[in-house]
Amino acid sequence: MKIIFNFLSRHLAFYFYSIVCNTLLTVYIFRSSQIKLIKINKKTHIKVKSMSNPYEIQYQQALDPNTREAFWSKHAEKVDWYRKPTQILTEAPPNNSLWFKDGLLNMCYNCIDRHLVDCGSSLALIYESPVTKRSKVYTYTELYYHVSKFAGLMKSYGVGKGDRVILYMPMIPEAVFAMLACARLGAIHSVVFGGFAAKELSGRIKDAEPKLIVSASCGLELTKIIDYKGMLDEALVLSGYSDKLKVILVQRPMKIATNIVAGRDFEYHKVTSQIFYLFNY
Amino acid sequence: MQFFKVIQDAPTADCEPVEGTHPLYILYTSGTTAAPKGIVRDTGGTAVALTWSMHHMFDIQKKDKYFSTSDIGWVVGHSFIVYGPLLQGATTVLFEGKPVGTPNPGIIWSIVEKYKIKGIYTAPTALRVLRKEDPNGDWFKKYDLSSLKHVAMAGERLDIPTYNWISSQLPKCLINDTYWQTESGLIICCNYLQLHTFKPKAGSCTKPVPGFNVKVMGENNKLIAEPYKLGKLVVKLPTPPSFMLTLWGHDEAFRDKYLKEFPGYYAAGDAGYFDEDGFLYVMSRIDDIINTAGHRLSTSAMEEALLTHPDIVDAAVVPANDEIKGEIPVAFVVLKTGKSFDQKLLEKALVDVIRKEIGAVASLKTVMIVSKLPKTRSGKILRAVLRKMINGVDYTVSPTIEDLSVIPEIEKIARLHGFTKPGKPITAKL
Repeated sequence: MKIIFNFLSRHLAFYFYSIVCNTLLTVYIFRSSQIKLIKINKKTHIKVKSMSNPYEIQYQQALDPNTREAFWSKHAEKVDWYRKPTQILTEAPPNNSLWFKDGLLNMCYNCIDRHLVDCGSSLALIYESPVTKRSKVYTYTELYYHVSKFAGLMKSYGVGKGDRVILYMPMIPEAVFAMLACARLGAIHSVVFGGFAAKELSGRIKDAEPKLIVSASCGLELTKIIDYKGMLDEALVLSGYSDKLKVILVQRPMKIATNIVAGRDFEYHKVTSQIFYLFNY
Repeated sequence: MQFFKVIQDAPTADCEPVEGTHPLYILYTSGTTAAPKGIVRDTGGTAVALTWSMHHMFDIQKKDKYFSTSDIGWVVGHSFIVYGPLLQGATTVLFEGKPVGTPNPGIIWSIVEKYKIKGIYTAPTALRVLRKEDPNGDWFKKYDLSSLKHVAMAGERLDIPTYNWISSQLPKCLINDTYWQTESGLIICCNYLQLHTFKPKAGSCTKPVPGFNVKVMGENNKLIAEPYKLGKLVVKLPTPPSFMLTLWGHDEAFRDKYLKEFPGYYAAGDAGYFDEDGFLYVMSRIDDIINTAGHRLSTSAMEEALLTHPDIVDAAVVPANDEIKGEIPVAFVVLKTGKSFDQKLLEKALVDVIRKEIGAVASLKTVMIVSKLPKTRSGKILRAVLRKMINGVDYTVSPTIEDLSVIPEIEKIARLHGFTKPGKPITAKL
């Protein structure tokens, strides 16, 4: 309760502040982009008819070198920034199209935290699993709780901004928690499709050099149980990264992994004190 | 006892502010032969582009319910299971199941009814599987689907027969075939619920997304301006927000692969054309174009023609080497569940379809009826496997193959059709 109260009071102020800022800036940018658009109409004689539908207007704005930055800058107002970007487009290597280079933001904040004020009790995530005949729902507040805890856990294993985390996961809520937790820390996640063979996984481990791997004991394919932990162990040996990283393992009741390597593998339910995890899914 | 042991209570962590170009994620695309390609996505661009997309393309707002049937291992899962809906404050569905078999072909529609889902994102292959199991749409009628406003899909082009089928099952929904890639981040071409809803044209992915200056490149690096002329799809730089930053740790490989072929443009690797209204038609990967006696033909156009036959639910066309014509098309088809057939008659009917729809130049002679096509888990047909097999070239099977058992079955059928020395799978050495 206390956490939520602190949280709300902290963010409420920011929320109102951002409403005021957003409104002012939107008005400003909208006006300036409109002015530019009118100028271009005069210059290039774009047919009035084709400009009549909103798609054509947006397409032209995003296309024209004189308006495209104002266009994306306007739409960037829908995102919450710690520092608003001033360099909208930087045409520099490697891809000649770097956007919002000097802006500061956090994806997880934008996906969860900012919604807590007005959507805290509405649903964020619905887990529907006909293969296990389970379903479960999470509100934004619950999602916030799980993700910020997961992020805290990752942090305690030394994961920070720019570090890679490989997720080798079935379609369970922890997979989403882990993705968002990485975003929260500024860590870079790389989701490897669950069920990829050990050799494929090892190639990705070697390329991404992760500090942490988040995985589960097994995945389910119709009637088959796929031994993720077995394949992960094999991939770790193949890649030579076996002792260079940590593993967070979600145990699923259909197949509890027993090959836990002490000091490297950490079972998620243990490190988050979930006693009744076997009833999860 | 050990399950109940409490080791440590995890502390929570706060948000770390990152720069707009800080990598949000790396997503590897399956390369069967070369080293894995790790596509790097930006943070700021992705947040902006997805927010724009959820609103303008799908009209998903705060508290709306959105359901993507994809897997988090694919880019669709990143954008439309996790980040897109959550950026909007909407509700997202994480689905651990299959369109059919878990337990029946009504599972997707039951979820739509249960949560009043507003939009679905799926793949043409899922719709084809549904069509195979539920051709008359009986499972659609069992549920209240009034909340559903649109069905979008990606992964490959939505063929016209499947488009017609899903449109007739869901007449009130916008069926939105979207074209994009892991590389592009943002959808490249689609229809729009909020911005402007174009009257869909079957077989087209509608109009390029603002920010994507899509062009068709012809021979000798000359842009094609006239409609209906097939060429390589390119995107003029700069690309919009959310477009890949680079390949993880391989800037040079990134430039060589995507930016070198046409200076100033991104090479999408797909073939397509525009019609006179500026609607884009993406036909196939560039390697899916075959050359029969000097005619350049799209295998996906042939596949689509085969799918117009009422008994066919899935088809793949690949080129077989031919001494006289260079390449000739060979078709693999899947019949509706429970259909009996006369091999000779069906073959003749399909050859006639191709003659009628594509022309005699296509000279399709061989049609193989198989129970299933080799596909990746994301629904892409492994045409290279089929092509190499019938041409006697050994091949690597993508690790993402959905069902490995189809390979020996197809090999057996190929032998019966005179491909006596089929290529063999190369067993991966561990």
